[in-house]
Amino acid sequence: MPILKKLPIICPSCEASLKVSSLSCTKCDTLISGSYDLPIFLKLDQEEQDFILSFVLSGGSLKAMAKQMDRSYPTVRNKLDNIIDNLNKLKQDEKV
Amino acid sequence: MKKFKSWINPFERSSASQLIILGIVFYVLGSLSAYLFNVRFDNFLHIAVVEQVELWQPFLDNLIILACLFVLLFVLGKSINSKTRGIDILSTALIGYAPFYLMSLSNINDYSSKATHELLSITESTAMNISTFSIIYLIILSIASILILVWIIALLYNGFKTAANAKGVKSIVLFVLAPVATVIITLFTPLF
Repeated sequence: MPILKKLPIICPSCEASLKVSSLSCTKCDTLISGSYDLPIFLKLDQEEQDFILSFVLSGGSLKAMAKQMDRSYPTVRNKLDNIIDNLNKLKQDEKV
Repeated sequence: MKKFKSWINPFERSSASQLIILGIVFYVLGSLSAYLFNVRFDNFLHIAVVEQVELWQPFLDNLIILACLFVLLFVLGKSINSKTRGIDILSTALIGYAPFYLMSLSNINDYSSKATHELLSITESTAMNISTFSIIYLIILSIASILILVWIIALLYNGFKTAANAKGVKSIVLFVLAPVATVIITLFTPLF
């Protein structure tokens, strides 16, 4: 089973948000250096990212999500509301 | 563990419509049981053993209690989260209150009535006229009542939390208001 590498988004030393400083091409070894912000979606934890992915793939239907997750409709809606809250906080943090 | 969780928080997995149907079944069975064992649900989380009960009376008693609980939880739920749905609050009220119907079974064969009379007779005379059976019965009944009360609070809280996405101290304080207000309102509602 392949190991799922978790993308670190917080500095383990000072707990500040990490930035992307280099991108490389695995085909020709081209390396791009710079300072890029992580997309807001990647700042969510893995479970939240998976939820958003499933939500989009299910056509944005909370009912379908509830069936898929074997959870009740309000439980799934609460999960989505919590993610929206998190995204709004992250957006505000970015502005600061 | 999963099974235990579904006993105290069925709202996480089961749909509101399933829970409402189950709640209505419990409501009918609980009211019928109160009729059979001469019990009135005279206010929220309180029963009274009476001489005779008409079939419609326990149904109306429980309907008034459930209506109060529903309205209060719904208003509080909406004040916390505008997305709160009535259907989820209805399932919370119906399922949350359901364990209390078990209390009507306490008067099977008039046990509760007899034991209470024996207990009250102690205050009237100096002699101990209470049987060992009645003492044991009352102790078991007290423990069962406490467990049922805890179960009801857990069910109501979990249902409310799921329906209104309630979080934090403010939500807990608002939630506590619903059962307390239901007790006060039903205390002043006349028995029909």
